[in-house]
Amino acid sequence: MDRPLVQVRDLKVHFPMKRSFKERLRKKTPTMLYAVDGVNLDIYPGETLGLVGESGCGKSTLARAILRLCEPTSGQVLFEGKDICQLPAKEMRAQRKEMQLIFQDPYASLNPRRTVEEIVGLPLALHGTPPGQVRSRVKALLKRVGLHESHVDRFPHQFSGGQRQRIVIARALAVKPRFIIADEAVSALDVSIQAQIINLLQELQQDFNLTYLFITHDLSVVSYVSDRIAVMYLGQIVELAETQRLFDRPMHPYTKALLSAIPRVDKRTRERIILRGSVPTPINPPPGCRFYSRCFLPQKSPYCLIPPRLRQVGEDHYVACHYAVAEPPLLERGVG
Amino acid sequence: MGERLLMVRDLKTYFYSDIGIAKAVDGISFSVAPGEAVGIVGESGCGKSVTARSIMRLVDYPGRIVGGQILFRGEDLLTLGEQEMRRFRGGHIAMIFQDPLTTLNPVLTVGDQIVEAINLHHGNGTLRGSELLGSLNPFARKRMQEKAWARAIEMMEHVGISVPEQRMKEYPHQFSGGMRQRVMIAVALSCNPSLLIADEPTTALDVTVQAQILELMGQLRSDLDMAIILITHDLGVVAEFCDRIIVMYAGKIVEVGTVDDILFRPKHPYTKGLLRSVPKLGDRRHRIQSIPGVVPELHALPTGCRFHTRCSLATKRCALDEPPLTEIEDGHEVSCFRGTA
Amino acid sequence: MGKAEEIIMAEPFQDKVIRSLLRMLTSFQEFWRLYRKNRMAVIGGAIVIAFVLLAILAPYVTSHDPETPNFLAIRKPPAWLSGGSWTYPLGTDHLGRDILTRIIYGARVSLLVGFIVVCFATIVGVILGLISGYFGGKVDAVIQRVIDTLLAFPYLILATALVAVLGPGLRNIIIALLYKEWIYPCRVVRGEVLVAKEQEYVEAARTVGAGDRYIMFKEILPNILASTIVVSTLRVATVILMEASLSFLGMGVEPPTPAWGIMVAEGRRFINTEWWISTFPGLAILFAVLGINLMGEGLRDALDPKLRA
Repeated sequence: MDRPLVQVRDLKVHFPMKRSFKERLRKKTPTMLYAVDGVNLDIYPGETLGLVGESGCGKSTLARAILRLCEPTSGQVLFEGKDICQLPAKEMRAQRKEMQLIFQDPYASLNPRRTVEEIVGLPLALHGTPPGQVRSRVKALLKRVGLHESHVDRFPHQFSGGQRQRIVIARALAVKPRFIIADEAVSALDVSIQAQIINLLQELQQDFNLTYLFITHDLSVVSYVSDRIAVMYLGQIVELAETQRLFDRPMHPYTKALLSAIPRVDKRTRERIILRGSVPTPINPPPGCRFYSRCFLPQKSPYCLIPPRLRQVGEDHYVACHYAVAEPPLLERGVG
Repeated sequence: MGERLLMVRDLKTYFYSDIGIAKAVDGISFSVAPGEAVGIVGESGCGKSVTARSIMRLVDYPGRIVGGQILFRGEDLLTLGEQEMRRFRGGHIAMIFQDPLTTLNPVLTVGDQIVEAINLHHGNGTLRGSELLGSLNPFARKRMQEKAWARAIEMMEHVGISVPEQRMKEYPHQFSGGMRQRVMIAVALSCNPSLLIADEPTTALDVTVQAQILELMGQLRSDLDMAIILITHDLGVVAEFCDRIIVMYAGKIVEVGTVDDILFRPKHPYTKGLLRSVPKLGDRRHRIQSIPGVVPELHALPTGCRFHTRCSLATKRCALDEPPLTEIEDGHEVSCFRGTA
Repeated sequence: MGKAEEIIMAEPFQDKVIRSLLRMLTSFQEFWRLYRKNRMAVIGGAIVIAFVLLAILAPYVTSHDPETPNFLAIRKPPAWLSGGSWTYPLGTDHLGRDILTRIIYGARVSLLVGFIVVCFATIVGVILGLISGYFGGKVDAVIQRVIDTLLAFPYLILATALVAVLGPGLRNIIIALLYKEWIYPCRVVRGEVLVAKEQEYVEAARTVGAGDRYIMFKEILPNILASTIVVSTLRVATVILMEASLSFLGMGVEPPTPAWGIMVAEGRRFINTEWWISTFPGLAILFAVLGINLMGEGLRDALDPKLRA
């Protein structure tokens, strides 16, 4: 296999919680929020890696740490073998050209007081497009993402949600990045519009040979776009596998529950695993296996207090569960 | 098809603003049988939430219900006075919303809010007449309060909240999203309504929590023999939960049918397009087919069929005449000139 | 600002001028459409414009001299009272000067002080507020503590003390008022920046490689300008009141220069008999402050992008 484009090595992002005045007087060490707690990931050139998990599992923090929009507590992020966490500010600004982020909320990620030309033109100007050419490049980009050239002088509020997301994509594409993180990029859109944007992202991937990290809570979308999928729970990756394999032979109990919880149009009567309880907070995560409190496996035992490591159980299939067997049985296929 | 619990006839709700009249709901008719679960699906701006609010008569200014009838057990809710309407709201028809955090009062404990809901309607008949008079008597009042408190605890248990006695004294922010939605359901169900309107009840929740809530709602529905109108944009949710589906587009109903009719034998091009746009789990060999274009603005609707501008089957007639909702099979109605094709 | 950031502002010149002119025109039309809706704001705006025009055109509006005494026409009543004449529509003061003329010339002082103080205060306040809110940490702590300290002094007493040290005169009043005035826009801007900097579009600008100064001035500033303009407008009214108070206390401009505060103070002795000497300048203060406040409220609604179509 090729050399990975992005390697995440034991990445941790911990945030100190606010201390009260009394606690500060007593010099109490702040409680930590373990948003991302020891994540390892390899992302290969040209692939789409899906990252799924429920709200609060740390997937957005992971994305921001990979782009160094927030500083990791420890660990490394290697972009083509170069540790970007160590780059000085100036080089980091140049490095940003290679990696871009598409946001969830197309209403918040566009400055309401700036025109489309200024928004999409900013990255162009910052990375050395001659001033005379900015406008025409912006027009070309707008056309590429399915908008009209005449939209160049409009303000964001004059567009619909889907169109705004196209503007966001155009801005990300402007610097010709190689790696794009899409953080819930289609979650806020209606189904029919969502389909348009997914198709656009896939076309662009082929045309520009992009690598995606596709973050979402929507398993149907992620299964549709990803080559491989990583499942995250409370700051850790619990399962990583090739897409079809993950859906056919999920091994981690959390993945199984997640898959069975998706409401489906095509398959209505089936066994459902309904998890009891709600997600524990990442402020004081349980020791050992983080899923222990909600786990439904009959085998679960005090051994689960030993933190399970991500281990290989099949070709390109990694699970962090002590009870995952090497070759899991094939589940009944979801799609006929 | 027997007794109808709710019949909506030619309902029209318009919003008046500077830029024109937005016909959010424009002449829709449907009915709900007792104990039935009906799903209303459509994209944002199709009028599904406005429909729900119209039934509750909770349309905010500048919106107004300008025509039609809403018959609840044969009584037209639109002719009732505000006082009488309040009896129906919460008492016979309850509603839950997408975001439970904004619908629960942050400064009151959860228990107080459930008790308040119970007291407002006197538990639908458990406290009546004499007891109402007795509310002037402090002892009777206390008894009533205790009764309501006990009922609230019962409701909390019913919706699957553990240690209800203790959690009753907590504030909404101490509950997780799924738990808050359970509280909302407890508030809504405290007066034994015979119709529950759920407006995107699980959209803000995670899938595993969504599964919990849907399971709960399904259980309560059979326990209490309550009809449910579930409003959502998620076809998967209605597929699993509902008996019948109403598909709305730009303020109109485009197709009505049983779940199987809509999901496996859709007739309207919009329904077909919507189903094709949903990414299938684990199926990535082909491109998802999307519906081209965007939903039209509600104050500048196209003439004729509202979908013709995005429809691949549209003919000249579609741009001129509005297709009526016609029954093509038993219980399966479509509003399309070419729908039977 | 970095080299690249300058480039984006310098592109085909003519195009840019025409486009920005067009944009200004459309945004002004939009502004006016919303502003016009608030009837009281239109009235307030009209009052303010009337005062400004009167102040600028003072010598053409009235032929009297505001400063020279005329002992032949001392304490004449307004025109509609017996003994009054239309030569002196609002009567004359104890030195025989036309009150209307003095009010019109007095507007010059009040408005000048109001505008200059608020302009400088806004510039200083916006810059410090941006820095304070954007960078946070120690810089923020220092600026905020300075503001807290200044807030601890009552405005009028601080200004009086400063004028007492600096000596009276227009320039010194402006300096004395500026000393505290900048903290108001500063605090508003800081609050708005704290909100704006968490917006995703700021993060988006950072992901494409924009620097701090670019983000502060080009991404955040345009979004907080509207509320800054509103607050500053409302502050003009307060500053005018402060100036009038200082003049009333004799700490303002020196007589015989007409200022509303001085006129009220001078007429005070005659309030039982010749009430018009201090009443009319008092009304002038009232109307100026009222007009500005009404206008400020209208601006607040009209500049709010959320209300725009």
